[in-house]
Amino acid sequence: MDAKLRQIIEMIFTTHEEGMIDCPTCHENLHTLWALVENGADISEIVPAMAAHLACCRECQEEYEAFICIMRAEQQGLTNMPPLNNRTPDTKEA
Amino acid sequence: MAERVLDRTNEEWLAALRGEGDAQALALNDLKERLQRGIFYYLSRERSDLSDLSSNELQQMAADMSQDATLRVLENLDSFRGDSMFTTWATRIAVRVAISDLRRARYKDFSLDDIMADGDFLPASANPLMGERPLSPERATERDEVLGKIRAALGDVLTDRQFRALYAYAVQGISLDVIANDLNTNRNALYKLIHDARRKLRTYFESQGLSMDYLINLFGET
Repeated sequence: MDAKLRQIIEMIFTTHEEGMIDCPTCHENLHTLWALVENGADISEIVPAMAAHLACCRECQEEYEAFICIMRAEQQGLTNMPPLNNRTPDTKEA
Repeated sequence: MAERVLDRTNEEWLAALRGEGDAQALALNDLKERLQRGIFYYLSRERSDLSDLSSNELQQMAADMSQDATLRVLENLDSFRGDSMFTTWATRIAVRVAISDLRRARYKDFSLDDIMADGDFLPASANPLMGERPLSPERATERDEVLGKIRAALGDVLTDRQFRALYAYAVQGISLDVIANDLNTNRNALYKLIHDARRKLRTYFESQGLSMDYLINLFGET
């Protein structure tokens, strides 16, 4: 199937209904999700409006994933570790 | 000289950052370092698009981003509601700063007019002889009719502004922030514009008896 045609079909049919939250609201509440995610909660059950927005908004989804990635890394002490072996300070990856 | 503080309560963070002198400088430095470590982790482990950058280049990028993020946190201290750890809230702000920078860098030469010059993105008429499994003449005709409806919907149901925004976001994968800048609007207004366009098209397609499953099935055949 033509990739561009598929992208636009999926985008049209996966939009959420009116009354859901917008990008600023999603962003402003991102930090409050961490306590839920940290405890293994399914955000689609606890905050379905936010989950619906994340499913429809590529940008907010990217920010959510980055945020969770950093928070998990901090929790596990990974942000204090040195760079990966294949990322030496003076050489670039192949 | 104030002593280095390994960890702070929310109240201690706020007091130190709102304070003066060494205590404030130390808190600012601690916050920046913490944000920088998180951003660096994200850039180095999760961003495959940055894999050609060295560790030093990523560290510099993370340092610049965390500097901006720390200033943004300071500007917004009054909006912290205390509904999370202070550093969790600050990380949320830092993520927005970092990703916005990455998006701006990626699309620094973006022009909506340029990408609209690509012309019609929909496939040409269905050729019954093309593909792994040739279509029947009836199926090829059905595809052409539906393509015509999609083309008409994009042209007639949407405003020109809605079409340009939807095309850039959905088809070209351009960032909302970048498109919004080109259209002289903000990200949320643009999201609303695209959301309305998506709903209008969905309503139109459904009125024509065209569901997503039907369309995927029709054009998914080879």
